[in-house]
Amino acid sequence: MNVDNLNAHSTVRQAVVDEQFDHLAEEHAPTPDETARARDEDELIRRSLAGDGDAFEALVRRHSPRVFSIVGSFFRRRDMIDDIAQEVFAKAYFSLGTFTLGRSFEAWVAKITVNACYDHLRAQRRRIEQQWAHETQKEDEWFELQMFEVAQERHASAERQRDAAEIAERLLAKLDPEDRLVVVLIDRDGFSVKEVSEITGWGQSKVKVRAFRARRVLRAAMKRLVLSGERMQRSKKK
Amino acid sequence: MNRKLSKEATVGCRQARRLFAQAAGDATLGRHLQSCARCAFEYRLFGLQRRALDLAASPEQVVPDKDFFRALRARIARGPELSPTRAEESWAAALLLTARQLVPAMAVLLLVILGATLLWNQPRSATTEASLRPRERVVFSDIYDYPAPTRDDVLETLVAVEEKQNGK
Repeated sequence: MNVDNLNAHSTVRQAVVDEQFDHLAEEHAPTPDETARARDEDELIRRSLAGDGDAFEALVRRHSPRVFSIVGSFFRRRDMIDDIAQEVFAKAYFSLGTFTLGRSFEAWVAKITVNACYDHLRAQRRRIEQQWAHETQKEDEWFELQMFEVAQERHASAERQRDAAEIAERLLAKLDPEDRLVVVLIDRDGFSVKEVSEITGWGQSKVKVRAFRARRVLRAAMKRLVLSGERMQRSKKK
Repeated sequence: MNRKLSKEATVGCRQARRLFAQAAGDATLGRHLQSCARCAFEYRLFGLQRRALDLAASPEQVVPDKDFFRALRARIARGPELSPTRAEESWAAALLLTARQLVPAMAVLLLVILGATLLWNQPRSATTEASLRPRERVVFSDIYDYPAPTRDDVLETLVAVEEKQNGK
């Protein structure tokens, strides 16, 4: 894998993440703009609580990029992302009464989003286990090898990319949903352990353990793929 | 000076692996990967892991369309709902909780029954009068209104016990 490619890719991704989640990165004194925005947001929440649908839609429009971005880190299908985001905002609407005015609405919605993703990951894992329970180990390995080949070529055809995505999903489905949640947030989206701990409500030690476990499982799976791929290439040459 | 330069130019394996996740330092990392096969292999695994995470995520930044807001308003108008996953899980969780609570309780109950059975079947040791505390000593003649045993009764009993032990 090309070092430059991977680094360029992660830089772009990191920039997007930083832009959207910078307020979580460190606690700082709010700027006048932020204070005004928070006041404005509190007003929108008050109006939403009074039954003003337009005020809530304004809140949704403001926070939807962030919600979609988090959901999009875990799920690929557009309809699924839409559905989960809807669920998140509906939940936020119905529990708006429990929100403490003056606190960060963005962080509150992020927590609801991560919890919703976690619920769906758990449900998805059960479905995948049932769906693929009949497949043999050999078939499993064959699929993973295909993914391995596609993963090596970044500009593979759309169809192959789709296949590879499905296989990557199968691979990640082997992870415990909690482990997966943590590894995606940290390794893909660039959140720190502290931030993940704040979003999920889990202790930092738990987050670290989950991340370690997920990386170990993924590394083992990738090692198996690389070694199988090399064996395959050697046998082709012979 | 040369030493300083060479220090800057190369990193150890541990340091190089820390650089895997960082965008910066690619030149240093690249140099290390060229000279260390093990780290190069690890970097390959790392890259594949990242690729798998990316492949399972949405390929592009999704933005809500008009339908999204319309559907959300409709959903809100329907009122709060218990999602099917939640409903399923609540049943499963209740069953799991019951099982979790029942298992230790049953284990304790089983232990109590076993303990009681063992104690009940234990051969009873002869409780001598001497082993009893003074207030627990009972004079049988007082209870059953028998005459107190004479010295001969005691001697006869002792002889009978000895004969029994000798198998006569």
